This record gives sequence, structure tokens and C-alpha cells, in this order.
Amino acid sequence: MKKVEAIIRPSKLKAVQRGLKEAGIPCLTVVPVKGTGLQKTYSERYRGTELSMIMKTRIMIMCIVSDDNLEKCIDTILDNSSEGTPGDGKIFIYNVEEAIRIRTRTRGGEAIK
Amino acid sequence: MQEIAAVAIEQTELISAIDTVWVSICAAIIFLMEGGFALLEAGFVRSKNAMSIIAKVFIDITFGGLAFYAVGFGIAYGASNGWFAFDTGITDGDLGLGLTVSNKLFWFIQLGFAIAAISIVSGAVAERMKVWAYALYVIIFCAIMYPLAANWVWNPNGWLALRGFNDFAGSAAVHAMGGFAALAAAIVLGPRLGKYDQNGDPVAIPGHNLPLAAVGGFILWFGWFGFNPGSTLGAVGNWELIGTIATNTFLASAAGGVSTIFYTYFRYGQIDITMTINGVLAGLVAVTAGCNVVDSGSAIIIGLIAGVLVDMAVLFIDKKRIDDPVGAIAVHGVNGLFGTIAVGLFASENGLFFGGGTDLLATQAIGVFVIGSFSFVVTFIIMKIMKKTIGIRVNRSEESAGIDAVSFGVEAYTTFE
Repeated sequence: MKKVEAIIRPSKLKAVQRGLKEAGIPCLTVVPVKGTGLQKTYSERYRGTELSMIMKTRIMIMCIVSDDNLEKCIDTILDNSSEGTPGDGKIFIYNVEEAIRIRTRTRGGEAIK
Repeated sequence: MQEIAAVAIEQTELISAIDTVWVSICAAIIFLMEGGFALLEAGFVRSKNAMSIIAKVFIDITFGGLAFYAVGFGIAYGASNGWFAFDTGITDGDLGLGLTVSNKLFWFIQLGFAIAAISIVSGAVAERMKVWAYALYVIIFCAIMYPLAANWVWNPNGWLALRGFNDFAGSAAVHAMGGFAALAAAIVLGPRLGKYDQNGDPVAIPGHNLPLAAVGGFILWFGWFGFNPGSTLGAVGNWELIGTIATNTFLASAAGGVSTIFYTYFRYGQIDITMTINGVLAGLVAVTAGCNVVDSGSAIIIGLIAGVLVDMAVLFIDKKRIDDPVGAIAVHGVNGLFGTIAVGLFASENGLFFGGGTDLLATQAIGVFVIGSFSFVVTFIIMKIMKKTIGIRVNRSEESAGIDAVSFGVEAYTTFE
């Protein structure tokens, strides 16, 4: 069982969600996040004064998938989230120790099926 | 004979009734401007201080309103020696203004002007002033300071009124008065933490809800159509003038918005929308003094100048290390000053550009200079005294954490549900 954590452009969320649903792995949690990556800093202006050290708005998607579905999940996100320019985001993969479905108290791989 | 007398009585009754409808509607519209101030200021500050600025506007209306009732109105409109009057409450006698509405209704519309003037200050002291010190200042401002300026300008015996000073709805008495008080208060308070970096360069602190600020701007804009036309204090005999005033008020505001849009576009390559809010308001402030005596073309020119002045003033004030989170000094102070002087230039009958010579211009300049300096100096002294005694600024940890949570125990946006 793996946790896929992807930071993507907000404009790509719908496409990623649709892709995951079509791939049969529709469960995801999203968090609006602000942050900065490796791309060059840029600035905005507010009432004539320059704003530096800006945090860009992104969406963080979290999906818990079985080991079998991992590559499919990653591919779906990659296929749907890229503009090919700096700022597209990152994907991180973690091991998950346990999953529990609250309603039935089912544990393990069954809980995420 | 009796019939004629009865008709005459009926006619005065009708005039008063019509004028009362007009003035009470305008007074209510002006009162709504407080909601505009509250939203505009709340939108332009950070969310951690959004409720504290709402509290300040409540204090403007409640403390300021009662102070203006108990003392302020008597000082402004009592029997004046030219500089001040001594009266309390709302007097029953003739105020010498040829009113066709009751003194109480006149008081109510004047209340709108008094609380508008103090609400200008609330924006400039946002995010750092102690609420009780602010409340004390509000009482002093609405009981004594603003009424003195109103006395000079609008009391029939006021020294500026007698000189022919034309400040129709208060570019000087309301806006310059509030704007220069805001300037003094912002100077004594000092900038918000983090407003200037170690080199002293300004750092932008974006407002947390710009659509809210824009809605505040729209409500103020709406309110101005009570503020200026309502200053006729009666509809009977003024119906043509009211049309002129409403049109001039709109034209100047639209021109102010247009010139800000062009100015920011050519300066930065993008239209600055938050500055456009200020540009529209600047046009309104600037035309407030002369909306009854300028023609439509002049109103547009006044607005165009105001829209550029406000942009330059915001940047200038920022560079001078005076922190005005909402642009109150640039909008109300600078354009109150400009608008009052503009009457001397653009008045159709006796303005300098219309062959009227420099008499009116001199009077306008003297008037607004005295009001602006009076407001600045007295506010500066009061703030300095309060700073030494009761303290005017929240402590550092409170300022960092946000005044809402620490002083008021609320947050503007709280729960997850």
C-alpha cells in the first residue's frame, strides 16, 4: 500500500480527477497549498509596491493505492498534470503501514478497495 | 382672506414635507457609507485584523454619533462668533440656514458627515491602534474637532462662510479634515510591523479580501449620491441644482477611475484594480466641494486630475514611511485639498480659469489650509499625549498574532464547518 502525494497546478485538478476515476482508482483527498519550487522567483505588485518571496498556489492530491495500482496512478497523474513548463509540480511516494475503513473497521488492503 | 392664509400655510407645509422626504432619504443613504468604509477597510487589511477594523467603524458611529449629538452639533451650528459656538444637544431655534426641514432631521444628516469624517481616520490607523485610545480620539473628534471645521464652513456666521468659501458637501470640512487627521495619526503611530524592510524600503502587505474592499468602494460610491445632492438640504427650488450635482458627482468619479486605469496601465503595464477603487473615490472627494458650481466638463477634468494624484500620493506616502493600509490619506487628505482649491480654478462664475480672478482661489486655499493644518496639528498633539499616557499602539505580540484574536476573542473566518 502506497501513498501518492502530488503537488499540481490548480488548473489540472479536474483532468487528474477524471483520469483517476477512469483508471478505476477514484479515491483522493485534495488540499489547497501555497509553496515555492525550484523555478526562478518572480514578483507581483500590490498598490504600486513590489511583492517578492511569493508563494504560488498549488493543489496537493493525496491518494492511497495498492501496490498493483501504483504505476497506473502515477502515470495518470503524469499524463494529466503537465504543461511541460517549470512549475508543473512534483510527485512523492510513501509507504503506508495500515488503512482502516471507519464504518466497518475493515483493515489492510480491503479497506481501500 | 382666510382662504389665502390657509393656502399659504398649506404651501409651507408641503414644501417642508417634500424637503423632509428628500433630506431623510439622502441622510439614510449617507449613513450607509459607514458600511462602505467598514467593508473597504476590512478588505484592505489582513484577515487577522478584519474584525478590529469593523469594531473601529462601530465605534465611529456609536461613540462618535452620541458625542456629535451631545456636544458636536451645538458647537457646529449654534450661535457662532465666527470660530465656535456653545450649545448642547439639538437646539429648537432658527439656525439661520433657511432650513425647511426640522432641526432634528438636519442634525441627522449632519451626523452622517461627522461619522464619515472620523471613519477616514479608522482606515489609516488599521491593524495597530489600541481600541480604547481610538474610542477616546473618536469622542474628541466628533464632539469638538470636526464641529469646529463645520462651524467655520457651514454655520451662517462661520468665518469661512462669510468670506464666500465654497465647500458644498465637504471636500475640506469632511475629507481634508479626516484625511489630515489620518496623516497625523499614522505618523505618531508608526508603520505596522514588517511594513518596511531593514533598508527602509516599503514592503507590500496585501489586503486579505479585495472583492470585499471593492464592494466597500461601491457602497461609498452609492453613498456619495446622498452626500453631495443631499447637501442641498431641500428639493423644493433646488431640483435643477440636484441634477447638476448628481451628474457632476458621477462624471468626476468616472473620470477618476479612468485616469487611474490609464496611469497604472502605462506605469506598470497592468491595470491596478485596488488603485482604481481609490481613483474613483478620489474623483468623488475632489468634486465634493465644487459639485454645485462647476460645469460638467470641469467635473471631468477635476476627476481626471484626482485619479492621478491619488496614485502618486499613495506611492509618495509609502516612501515617506507613513503606513496607510487603505490609502485614506491619499484619497481624502490629498484630494480634499485639491478639490477645495479646484473650486477656485473651475467655478463657472468666479473661478480663475473662467475669468473670475484669484479672490475665490485665495479664499479656497486659505480655508483648506487652515482646516488641514488645524486637523493635523490637533490630532498630532492628542495622539502624542495619549501615546505618553494611555498608550495608542497594541503590543508587539498582539500585533503579530492579530488584534481580532487577542483583543476581541474572535476571528473573521473561523470554523471548518
